[in-house]
Amino acid sequence: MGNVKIPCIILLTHGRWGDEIIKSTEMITGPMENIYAFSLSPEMDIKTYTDSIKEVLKHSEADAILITDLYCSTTTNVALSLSKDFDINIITGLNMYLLIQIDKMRRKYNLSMKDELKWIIEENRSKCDLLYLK
Amino acid sequence: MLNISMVRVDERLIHGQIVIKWIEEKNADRIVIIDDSTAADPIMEEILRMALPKDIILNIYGIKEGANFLKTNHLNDIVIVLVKKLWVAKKIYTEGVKINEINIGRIPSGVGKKMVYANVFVSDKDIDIINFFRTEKVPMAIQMVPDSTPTNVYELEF
Repeated sequence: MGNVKIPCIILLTHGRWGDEIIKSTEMITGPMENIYAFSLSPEMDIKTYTDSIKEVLKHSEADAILITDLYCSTTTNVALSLSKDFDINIITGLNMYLLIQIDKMRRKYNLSMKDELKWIIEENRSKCDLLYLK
Repeated sequence: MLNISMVRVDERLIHGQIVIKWIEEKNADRIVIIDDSTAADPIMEEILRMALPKDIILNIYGIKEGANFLKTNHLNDIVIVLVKKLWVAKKIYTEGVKINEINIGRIPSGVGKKMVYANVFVSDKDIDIINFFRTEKVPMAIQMVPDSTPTNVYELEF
Protein backbone atom coordinates (compact mmCIF):
# COMPACT_ATOMS: atom_id res chain seq x y z
CA MET A 1 0.00 0.00 0.00
CA GLY A 2 1.66 3.24 -1.16
CA ASN A 3 1.17 6.67 0.31
CA VAL A 4 -0.90 7.98 -2.56
CA LYS A 5 -4.57 7.63 -1.75
CA ILE A 6 -6.50 6.00 -4.54
CA PRO A 7 -10.07 7.26 -5.06
CA CYS A 8 -12.56 5.35 -2.97
CA ILE A 9 -15.28 3.15 -4.39
CA ILE A 10 -18.64 3.16 -2.63
CA LEU A 11 -21.27 0.54 -3.49
CA LEU A 12 -24.93 1.32 -2.77
CA THR A 13 -27.13 -1.77 -2.89
CA HIS A 14 -30.45 -3.13 -1.71
CA GLY A 15 -29.57 -5.71 0.90
CA ARG A 16 -26.06 -6.99 1.33
CA TRP A 17 -24.97 -7.86 -2.13
CA GLY A 18 -22.56 -4.94 -2.14
CA ASP A 19 -20.57 -6.63 0.64
CA GLU A 20 -20.79 -9.94 -1.17
CA ILE A 21 -19.73 -8.65 -4.58
CA ILE A 22 -16.59 -7.21 -2.96
CA LYS A 23 -15.72 -10.61 -1.48
CA SER A 24 -16.44 -12.37 -4.77
CA THR A 25 -14.42 -9.86 -6.78
CA GLU A 26 -11.49 -10.23 -4.40
CA MET A 27 -11.34 -13.92 -5.32
CA ILE A 28 -10.11 -12.65 -8.68
CA THR A 29 -8.38 -9.35 -7.96
CA GLY A 30 -6.93 -10.04 -4.53
CA PRO A 31 -7.72 -7.63 -1.67
CA MET A 32 -9.13 -4.27 -2.73
CA GLU A 33 -8.49 -1.18 -0.64
CA ASN A 34 -10.54 1.92 0.06
CA ILE A 35 -13.82 0.30 -0.96
CA TYR A 36 -17.08 0.49 0.99
CA ALA A 37 -20.48 -1.15 0.69
CA PHE A 38 -23.62 0.43 2.11
CA SER A 39 -26.50 -2.01 2.39
CA LEU A 40 -29.99 -0.52 2.25
CA SER A 41 -32.30 -2.71 4.30
CA PRO A 42 -36.12 -2.59 3.94
CA GLU A 43 -36.69 -0.74 7.21
CA MET A 44 -33.75 1.66 7.03
CA ASP A 45 -34.65 5.31 6.74
CA ILE A 46 -33.13 7.31 3.90
CA LYS A 47 -31.56 10.02 6.05
CA THR A 48 -29.62 7.47 8.15
CA TYR A 49 -28.45 5.73 5.00
CA THR A 50 -27.38 9.00 3.37
CA ASP A 51 -25.62 10.28 6.51
CA SER A 52 -23.55 7.12 6.85
CA ILE A 53 -22.28 7.54 3.29
CA LYS A 54 -21.58 11.25 3.94
CA GLU A 55 -19.21 10.25 6.74
CA VAL A 56 -17.01 8.39 4.26
CA LEU A 57 -17.23 11.16 1.65
CA LYS A 58 -16.22 13.83 4.18
CA HIS A 59 -12.83 12.12 4.47
CA SER A 60 -12.36 10.89 0.93
CA GLU A 61 -14.37 12.88 -1.53
CA ALA A 62 -11.81 13.46 -4.25
CA ASP A 63 -12.89 11.54 -7.36
CA ALA A 64 -14.95 9.11 -5.21
CA ILE A 65 -16.81 6.61 -7.39
CA LEU A 66 -20.31 5.61 -6.30
CA ILE A 67 -21.81 2.55 -7.99
CA THR A 68 -25.50 1.83 -7.42
CA ASP A 69 -27.47 -1.30 -8.16
CA LEU A 70 -30.70 -0.05 -9.77
CA TYR A 71 -31.31 3.07 -11.81
CA CYS A 72 -34.83 3.96 -10.73
CA SER A 73 -34.39 3.36 -7.08
CA THR A 74 -33.60 4.80 -3.66
CA THR A 75 -29.91 3.82 -3.90
CA THR A 76 -29.49 5.91 -7.05
CA ASN A 77 -31.65 8.75 -5.72
CA VAL A 78 -29.43 8.92 -2.63
CA ALA A 79 -26.26 8.99 -4.74
CA LEU A 80 -27.65 11.79 -6.91
CA SER A 81 -28.69 13.85 -3.90
CA LEU A 82 -25.18 13.43 -2.43
CA SER A 83 -23.77 14.90 -5.63
CA LYS A 84 -25.37 18.23 -4.65
CA ASP A 85 -22.84 18.55 -1.84
CA PHE A 86 -19.93 16.37 -2.95
CA ASP A 87 -17.94 16.24 -6.16
CA ILE A 88 -18.43 12.56 -6.96
CA ASN A 89 -18.84 10.16 -9.88
CA ILE A 90 -22.03 8.11 -10.02
CA ILE A 91 -22.61 4.96 -12.06
CA THR A 92 -25.68 2.79 -11.97
CA GLY A 93 -25.74 -0.90 -12.91
CA LEU A 94 -23.26 -2.55 -10.59
CA ASN A 95 -21.73 -5.72 -11.97
CA MET A 96 -18.52 -7.61 -11.31
CA TYR A 97 -16.70 -6.79 -14.54
CA LEU A 98 -17.45 -3.09 -14.03
CA LEU A 99 -16.08 -3.22 -10.49
CA ILE A 100 -12.90 -4.99 -11.62
CA GLN A 101 -12.24 -2.42 -14.36
CA ILE A 102 -12.91 0.56 -12.11
CA ASP A 103 -10.66 -0.82 -9.38
CA LYS A 104 -7.88 -1.33 -11.95
CA MET A 105 -8.29 2.15 -13.45
CA ARG A 106 -8.30 4.10 -10.19
CA ARG A 107 -4.78 2.96 -9.33
CA LYS A 108 -3.23 4.52 -12.41
CA TYR A 109 -5.52 7.07 -14.05
CA ASN A 110 -3.93 10.40 -14.87
CA LEU A 111 -6.41 11.84 -17.30
CA SER A 112 -9.95 12.85 -16.47
CA MET A 113 -11.67 10.36 -14.17
CA LYS A 114 -14.96 10.97 -15.98
CA ASP A 115 -13.43 10.15 -19.38
CA GLU A 116 -11.95 6.93 -18.00
CA LEU A 117 -15.31 5.95 -16.51
CA LYS A 118 -17.16 6.67 -19.75
CA TRP A 119 -14.79 4.39 -21.61
CA ILE A 120 -15.17 1.62 -19.00
CA ILE A 121 -18.97 1.85 -19.18
CA GLU A 122 -18.88 1.68 -22.98
CA GLU A 123 -16.61 -1.36 -22.88
CA ASN A 124 -18.83 -2.92 -20.22
CA ARG A 125 -21.79 -3.03 -22.61
CA SER A 126 -20.19 -5.81 -24.63
CA LYS A 127 -19.64 -7.80 -21.43
CA CYS A 128 -23.37 -8.20 -20.84
CA ASP A 129 -24.33 -10.24 -23.85
CA LEU A 130 -25.94 -13.38 -25.23
CA LEU A 131 -23.46 -16.22 -25.58
CA TYR A 132 -23.55 -19.41 -27.62
CA LEU A 133 -21.16 -21.97 -28.98
CA LYS A 134 -20.77 -21.98 -32.75
CA MET B 1 -60.80 14.61 -13.68
CA LEU B 2 -57.83 12.36 -14.25
CA ASN B 3 -58.27 8.67 -13.48
CA ILE B 4 -56.40 8.29 -10.18
CA SER B 5 -55.71 4.58 -9.94
CA MET B 6 -54.18 4.93 -6.49
CA VAL B 7 -52.72 7.38 -3.99
CA ARG B 8 -49.59 5.91 -2.51
CA VAL B 9 -48.24 7.11 0.83
CA ASP B 10 -44.48 6.51 0.91
CA GLU B 11 -41.72 8.82 2.11
CA ARG B 12 -39.48 7.75 -0.78
CA LEU B 13 -41.88 9.02 -3.50
CA ILE B 14 -40.40 7.52 -6.68
CA HIS B 15 -38.46 4.35 -5.93
CA GLY B 16 -37.85 0.89 -7.36
CA GLN B 17 -41.18 -0.64 -6.40
CA ILE B 18 -43.09 2.15 -8.12
CA VAL B 19 -41.08 2.04 -11.33
CA ILE B 20 -40.63 -1.71 -11.62
CA LYS B 21 -43.98 -2.93 -10.26
CA TRP B 22 -46.78 -0.44 -9.62
CA ILE B 23 -46.68 1.43 -12.91
CA GLU B 24 -47.20 -1.84 -14.78
CA GLU B 25 -49.78 -3.15 -12.29
CA LYS B 26 -51.95 -0.06 -12.67
CA ASN B 27 -51.07 0.50 -16.32
CA ALA B 28 -50.22 4.05 -15.37
CA ASP B 29 -49.31 6.77 -17.87
CA ARG B 30 -48.56 9.50 -15.40
CA ILE B 31 -47.13 10.02 -11.93
CA VAL B 32 -48.28 13.06 -9.97
CA ILE B 33 -46.26 13.94 -6.89
CA ILE B 34 -47.99 16.19 -4.38
CA ASP B 35 -45.39 17.56 -1.98
CA ASP B 36 -44.60 21.19 -1.12
CA SER B 37 -40.88 20.73 -0.44
CA THR B 38 -40.24 18.65 -3.56
CA ALA B 39 -42.14 21.15 -5.72
CA ALA B 40 -39.77 23.87 -4.44
CA ASP B 41 -36.60 21.83 -5.00
CA PRO B 42 -35.45 21.75 -8.65
CA ILE B 43 -32.59 19.35 -7.89
CA MET B 44 -34.90 16.84 -6.24
CA GLU B 45 -37.22 17.20 -9.21
CA GLU B 46 -34.37 16.40 -11.58
CA ILE B 47 -33.39 13.33 -9.51
CA LEU B 48 -36.96 12.02 -9.53
CA ARG B 49 -37.33 12.57 -13.27
CA MET B 50 -34.18 10.56 -13.91
CA ALA B 51 -35.69 7.64 -12.03
CA LEU B 52 -38.68 7.32 -14.37
CA PRO B 53 -38.84 5.66 -17.78
CA LYS B 54 -39.08 8.27 -20.53
CA ASP B 55 -42.61 7.31 -21.60
CA ILE B 56 -44.12 8.09 -18.17
CA ILE B 57 -45.23 11.69 -17.61
CA LEU B 58 -44.25 13.23 -14.29
CA ASN B 59 -45.89 16.20 -12.60
CA ILE B 60 -44.67 17.61 -9.30
CA TYR B 61 -46.92 20.07 -7.49
CA GLY B 62 -47.35 21.67 -4.11
CA ILE B 63 -50.55 20.75 -2.32
CA LYS B 64 -52.83 23.60 -3.44
CA GLU B 65 -51.72 23.52 -7.06
CA GLY B 66 -51.71 19.73 -7.10
CA ALA B 67 -55.25 19.38 -5.82
CA ASN B 68 -56.38 21.87 -8.43
CA PHE B 69 -54.52 20.06 -11.20
CA LEU B 70 -56.02 16.70 -10.25
CA LYS B 71 -59.54 18.13 -10.13
CA THR B 72 -59.50 20.19 -13.29
CA ASN B 73 -57.43 18.11 -15.68
CA HIS B 74 -59.62 16.17 -18.06
CA LEU B 75 -57.12 13.92 -19.79
CA ASN B 76 -57.76 10.17 -19.85
CA ASP B 77 -54.39 9.28 -18.37
CA ILE B 78 -54.19 6.66 -15.67
CA VAL B 79 -52.43 8.31 -12.76
CA ILE B 80 -50.60 7.20 -9.67
CA VAL B 81 -50.49 9.99 -7.08
CA LEU B 82 -47.53 9.93 -4.70
CA VAL B 83 -47.51 11.67 -1.32
CA LYS B 84 -45.15 11.38 1.63
CA LYS B 85 -47.68 11.75 4.41
CA LEU B 86 -51.23 10.69 5.18
CA TRP B 87 -52.33 14.26 5.96
CA VAL B 88 -51.56 15.28 2.39
CA ALA B 89 -53.91 12.58 1.11
CA LYS B 90 -56.62 13.93 3.41
CA LYS B 91 -55.94 17.52 2.36
CA ILE B 92 -56.37 16.86 -1.36
CA TYR B 93 -59.44 14.72 -0.64
CA THR B 94 -61.09 17.53 1.31
CA GLU B 95 -60.18 19.90 -1.54
CA GLY B 96 -62.40 17.76 -3.76
CA VAL B 97 -60.02 15.25 -5.32
CA LYS B 98 -61.71 11.90 -5.80
CA ILE B 99 -59.63 9.13 -4.19
CA ASN B 100 -60.69 5.56 -4.90
CA GLU B 101 -57.89 3.77 -3.13
CA ILE B 102 -55.09 4.61 -0.73
CA ASN B 103 -52.01 2.40 -0.74
CA ILE B 104 -49.47 2.64 2.04
CA GLY B 105 -45.91 1.62 1.29
CA ARG B 106 -43.78 3.08 4.02
CA ILE B 107 -44.34 5.58 6.81
CA PRO B 108 -41.17 6.07 8.86
CA SER B 109 -40.91 5.99 12.64
CA GLY B 110 -40.67 9.16 14.70
CA VAL B 111 -41.36 10.70 18.09
CA GLY B 112 -44.82 9.81 19.31
CA LYS B 113 -45.38 7.22 16.62
CA LYS B 114 -46.20 3.57 17.02
CA MET B 115 -45.59 0.70 14.68
CA VAL B 116 -48.76 -0.85 13.33
CA TYR B 117 -47.17 -2.95 10.62
CA ALA B 118 -43.74 -3.55 9.10
CA ASN B 119 -42.35 -0.16 8.01
CA VAL B 120 -45.56 1.65 8.95
CA PHE B 121 -45.48 3.95 12.00
CA VAL B 122 -48.45 6.14 12.84
CA SER B 123 -49.02 9.11 15.11
CA ASP B 124 -52.30 9.97 16.83
CA LYS B 125 -52.98 12.46 14.05
CA ASP B 126 -52.44 9.71 11.48
CA ILE B 127 -54.95 7.53 13.33
CA ASP B 128 -57.52 10.35 13.15
CA ILE B 129 -56.93 10.55 9.41
CA ILE B 130 -57.30 6.77 9.05
CA ASN B 131 -60.62 6.98 10.88
CA PHE B 132 -61.66 9.86 8.63
CA PHE B 133 -61.08 7.78 5.52
CA ARG B 134 -62.76 4.82 7.20
CA THR B 135 -65.90 6.92 7.63
CA GLU B 136 -65.62 8.10 4.05
CA LYS B 137 -65.36 4.44 2.98
CA VAL B 138 -62.14 4.96 1.03
CA PRO B 139 -60.28 1.62 0.86
CA MET B 140 -56.86 1.78 2.50
CA ALA B 141 -54.32 -1.03 2.41
CA ILE B 142 -50.68 -1.53 3.27
CA GLN B 143 -49.07 -3.25 0.32
CA MET B 144 -45.45 -2.73 -0.59
CA VAL B 145 -45.62 -4.42 -4.02
CA PRO B 146 -48.56 -5.84 -6.02
CA ASP B 147 -47.37 -9.40 -5.32
CA SER B 148 -47.56 -9.03 -1.56
CA THR B 149 -50.83 -9.66 0.27
CA PRO B 150 -52.56 -6.36 1.03
CA THR B 151 -53.30 -5.59 4.66
CA ASN B 152 -56.58 -3.77 5.22
CA VAL B 153 -55.64 -0.84 7.47
CA TYR B 154 -59.14 -0.70 8.95
CA GLU B 155 -58.65 -4.19 10.40
CA LEU B 156 -55.47 -3.27 12.27
CA GLU B 157 -55.25 -2.59 15.99
CA PHE B 158 -54.13 0.92 16.92
